[in-house]
Amino acid sequence: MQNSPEMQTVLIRTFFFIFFISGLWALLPVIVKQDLRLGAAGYGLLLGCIGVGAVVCAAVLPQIQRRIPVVDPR
Amino acid sequence: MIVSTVVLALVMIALGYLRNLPLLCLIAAIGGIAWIMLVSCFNVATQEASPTWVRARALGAYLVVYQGGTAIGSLLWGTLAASLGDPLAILLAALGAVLGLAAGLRWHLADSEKQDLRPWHVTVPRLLIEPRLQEGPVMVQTEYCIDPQRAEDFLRAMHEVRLMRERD
Repeated sequence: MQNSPEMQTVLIRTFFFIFFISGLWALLPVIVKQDLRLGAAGYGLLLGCIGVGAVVCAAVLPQIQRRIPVVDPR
Repeated sequence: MIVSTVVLALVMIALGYLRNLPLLCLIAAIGGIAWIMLVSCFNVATQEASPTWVRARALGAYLVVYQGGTAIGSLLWGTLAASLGDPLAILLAALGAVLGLAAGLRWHLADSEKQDLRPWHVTVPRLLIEPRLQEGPVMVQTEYCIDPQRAEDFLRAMHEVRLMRERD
């Protein structure tokens, strides 16, 4: 692993991404309960909406990726 | 990647500050789109950065970083939310995600379709002894026939080959 710079790049970028974005998953239940004052149903609804977006996108992703470069622009 | 990260960060900020549930549902769905694009991007990048024979290992390392990053991040954002409040904590996380894109300047996710990691054989290796399956370790020697005039160039090139050979 320490001799594959490509792999290190991917892992470092993954960490930078997930470290910050994990705030969404960590704080979503707290926000629903404390700030929106909703219960489990509210949390389930919002999580479900994220899921719907993800599923719809996964279905059309191949078409999108043909037009938008997946990796960083040069 | 940049667009998706910015969109996801905006979704996070909206979740922290907006209080209109139907609107938040719509925003959450948009967040889901950005989320799946980013996750599939990292998944593909991991697979493309590794040759087939170590792909399982590479995915293992990726999952450790992914889940470890989630654990460490969640701990930090939870602690921050307890002291600063939820909206500010998720705002900071969102800003961090956008600033984290700057890591791309130093660690650039290359268009790895261009690199070919398949094993490359000139000739089939000639075995002096046929080891049994349980036997090992084995030593593999590679002999190079080079032009003595260009020995310096060869040595220089071999430093790069060494890096590649030492991948595990």
